[in-house]
Amino acid sequence: MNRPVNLFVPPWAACLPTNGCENLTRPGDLAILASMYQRFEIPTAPAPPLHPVPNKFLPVVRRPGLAWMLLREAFHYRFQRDVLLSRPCIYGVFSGPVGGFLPRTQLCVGCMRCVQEYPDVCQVFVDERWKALGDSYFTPDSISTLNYEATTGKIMVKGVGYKGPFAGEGFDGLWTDMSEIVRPTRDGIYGREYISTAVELGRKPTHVDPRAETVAAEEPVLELQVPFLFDLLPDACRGNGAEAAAIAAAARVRSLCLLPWRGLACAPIRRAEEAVVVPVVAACEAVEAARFLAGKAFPAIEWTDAAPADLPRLRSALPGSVPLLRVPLGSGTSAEVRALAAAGAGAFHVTADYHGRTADGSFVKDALLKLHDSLVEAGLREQVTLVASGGIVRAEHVPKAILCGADLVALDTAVWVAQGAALRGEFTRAGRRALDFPPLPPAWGAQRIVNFCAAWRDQLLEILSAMGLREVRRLRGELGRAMSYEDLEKEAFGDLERSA
Amino acid sequence: MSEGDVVAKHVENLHRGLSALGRGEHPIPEALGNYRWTAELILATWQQAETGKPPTNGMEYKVGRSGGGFDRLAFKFLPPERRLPADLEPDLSIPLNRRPEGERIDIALPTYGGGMSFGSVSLNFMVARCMAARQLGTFTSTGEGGFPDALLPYKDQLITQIATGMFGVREETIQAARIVEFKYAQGAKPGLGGHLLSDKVTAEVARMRESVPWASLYSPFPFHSVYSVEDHKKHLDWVRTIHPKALLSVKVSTPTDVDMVAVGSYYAGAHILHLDGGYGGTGAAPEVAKKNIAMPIEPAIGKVHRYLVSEGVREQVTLIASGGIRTAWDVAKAIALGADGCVIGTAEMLAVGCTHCANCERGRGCQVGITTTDPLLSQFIDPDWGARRIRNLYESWKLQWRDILRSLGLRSIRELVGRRDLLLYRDR
Repeated sequence: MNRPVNLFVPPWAACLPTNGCENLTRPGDLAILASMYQRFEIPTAPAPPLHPVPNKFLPVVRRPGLAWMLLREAFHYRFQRDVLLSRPCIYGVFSGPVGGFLPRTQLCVGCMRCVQEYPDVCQVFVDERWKALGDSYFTPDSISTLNYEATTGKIMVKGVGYKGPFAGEGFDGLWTDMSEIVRPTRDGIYGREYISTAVELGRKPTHVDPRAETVAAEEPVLELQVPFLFDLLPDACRGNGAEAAAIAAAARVRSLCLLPWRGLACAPIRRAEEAVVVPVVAACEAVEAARFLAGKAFPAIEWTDAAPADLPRLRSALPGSVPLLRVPLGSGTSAEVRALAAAGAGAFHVTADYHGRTADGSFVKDALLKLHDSLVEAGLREQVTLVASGGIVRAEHVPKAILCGADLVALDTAVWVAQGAALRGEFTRAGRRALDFPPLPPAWGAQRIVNFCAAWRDQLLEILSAMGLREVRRLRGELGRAMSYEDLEKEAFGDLERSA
Repeated sequence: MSEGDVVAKHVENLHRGLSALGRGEHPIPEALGNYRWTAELILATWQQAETGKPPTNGMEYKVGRSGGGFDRLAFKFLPPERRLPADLEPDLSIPLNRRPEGERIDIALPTYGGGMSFGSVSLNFMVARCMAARQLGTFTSTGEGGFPDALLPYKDQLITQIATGMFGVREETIQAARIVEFKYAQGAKPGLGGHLLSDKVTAEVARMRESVPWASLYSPFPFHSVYSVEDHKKHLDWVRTIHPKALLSVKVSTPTDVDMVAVGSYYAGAHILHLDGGYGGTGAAPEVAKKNIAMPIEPAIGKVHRYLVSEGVREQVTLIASGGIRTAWDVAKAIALGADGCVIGTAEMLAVGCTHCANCERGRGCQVGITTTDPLLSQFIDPDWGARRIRNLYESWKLQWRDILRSLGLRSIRELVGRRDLLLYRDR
């Protein structure tokens, strides 16, 4: 039996300060909620890493050369103490009691002035420990950026332009549009104008009844304030505090956190945070778990070995819910999702590996485009929600995945690395040995996740404002506001003679 | 302590180090450089700034290793016997006003200096750029931070900028310049306003910008008085009213519809269309914006050039490209793709010792005195020394441009504009 659910009452109500409005569930409450309008913001607080993250730069001083240089300068500058002690670093690398004999390497920002002034004494290397961070996809640069975001909650701002490769595979081959004269651009994070990052999860109604007292859906539709939720944690973090941190962070950023249903009974979930937990169950276990899942609006179902014919049985076992069907992306995904959507499924979580690769070897970006187009062609796209995961490790990957057709994304490795997890080798699939995930205080872990989510949301706002969009929902599938490397290369250089 | 002695010590060391590193007397520092500005490109730029000639020690000074754009383009040179003689000096000058009315301004080389504002860079560096521009017969830009009095002696070489923050914009500053540029967007952060972080907003910078000291300045985006091409024309008309003789430049970034924007600007009355590609910029910018918003300059040039040609207006407007143009070869390739000339920023900073370390936004700013308002660090750039090095860099570039033109059989850089048939695209 379907039940109408108020679109505007989120389950986080239990997690938020109530202000006496905790019982806003009746149709007329919409007016009360509207009068409580306030901008959504994610509060941040400094959360330095528990264990030092290797610095990229490693200044090395040749001590005999330094001693000789000091002696030489002492005579040259006639023993003027202040001149002699004025050191070639404004970032304090040589500010210790013995200066360059024991440099404070963690302070080095790679400005190279020491090398410019004393090339025969100083060198700056890229630290091997920094190079060993992450893997070929979640690169050391990405990890450093994420660490900065998780520590400060701020966007990284630097000078002198872009320093990386011209373009790359996957998300690195896509640029977002901007407006300057002919389309109104928005104010962005420093402006007065509010840009919404809210998205909906669930099967959306195809029409609105003007005679109804309130806007209601036949099935639950949930508004999340950010277009990302937190994916299943790997086994490596069981009991180390990361689970509690992710749940608490999901409540604070008004999102959701996926957890395996079998572990929920002993999971560290506070009553106020129950609403943000999405239990994940295998399709074959759904009937068995039905009693446990009762009342959960969005249980996630692993749809790996199931077929569209199983959907009616599942829906009758979970009345009043919208199962979030987790479907691995591959060559047959478009057809499968289309069939399920036609059969009434309302929400899908399509998954790729942690490097964004799908079962058929394509990148999640291309698979999403195909799936989105397929649903548009079938006239089903507006009704269903697509959550995408795999390869989302930088802030810009969120809007790019949405541009390719996702409504929102599920975050995985970024959440864990923000909490201090270290990847061991090429990390494409969860496995006990693939991740080093030391124990952590849940409050600290939650703050780290909240911080990077705030920074990612701010970067999403920057991208939306540059494009002149007032809400992230307008971004979905808007490929007309994106530029792909393949297209640009063909248009710009396709007519040129090629050479080896 | 004698501050002068401290400055003298570091300046002497820096000059000696730049010279030795540029000549390749020491191993290439491992942490120097990146995909776009490789360590060799940086060292080669230092060397050219010292000698005024291209490196002869085998150092790569033409391309980086970004794997795309200019780094995959090459020229189809003529066989040696068909090239122009070495004693022939092809003309490098370009016109900045191609409309029938208004002041005729030609510059002696196909580049001028990009906008870097007072506050984002030191006054000494600004003066050095002005001096170099005068010696070279070209222009440089104030950026959006106003027109400090120290630049007035060089007003004939200056482009003054009006940006969304309107910092330092006064009638007299507009009237002082021969070229006025509207900055609608910038390649460093397309779609976002300028960022000058609090540590660099000294009392003097705040006075010039009519703001509060030590408070970050985020320029709004976009101009809230412009939401259409018609509004854009009103903007240009406003400057035309204040300074009827000024050439008008419109600086835009590179969205998907950059071609439409360019044509709109032409019809609004712009003399110069300045495209600033997404990978460039000298100022502080969110990393997410640098890499992901707006297209790089290479595809944008051809797109705009072709559209202006198809509209029949290409001959009446000067198309200038910027954003990630690092070398004389990049400039020549940009012109072959369809630009008339280029705007250069980062390479000028490298000429005076920048290491492309990207710490410009920090408290004291730049360690070698370029992007800083710190009183001590600012002294590291002596304007005469800085001007000499910038001029030397361009002298080296002039030699390279002439060599390229002779090898293509062209007598003027104007003949290279839009000659895509002379370009090759290298496979990966």
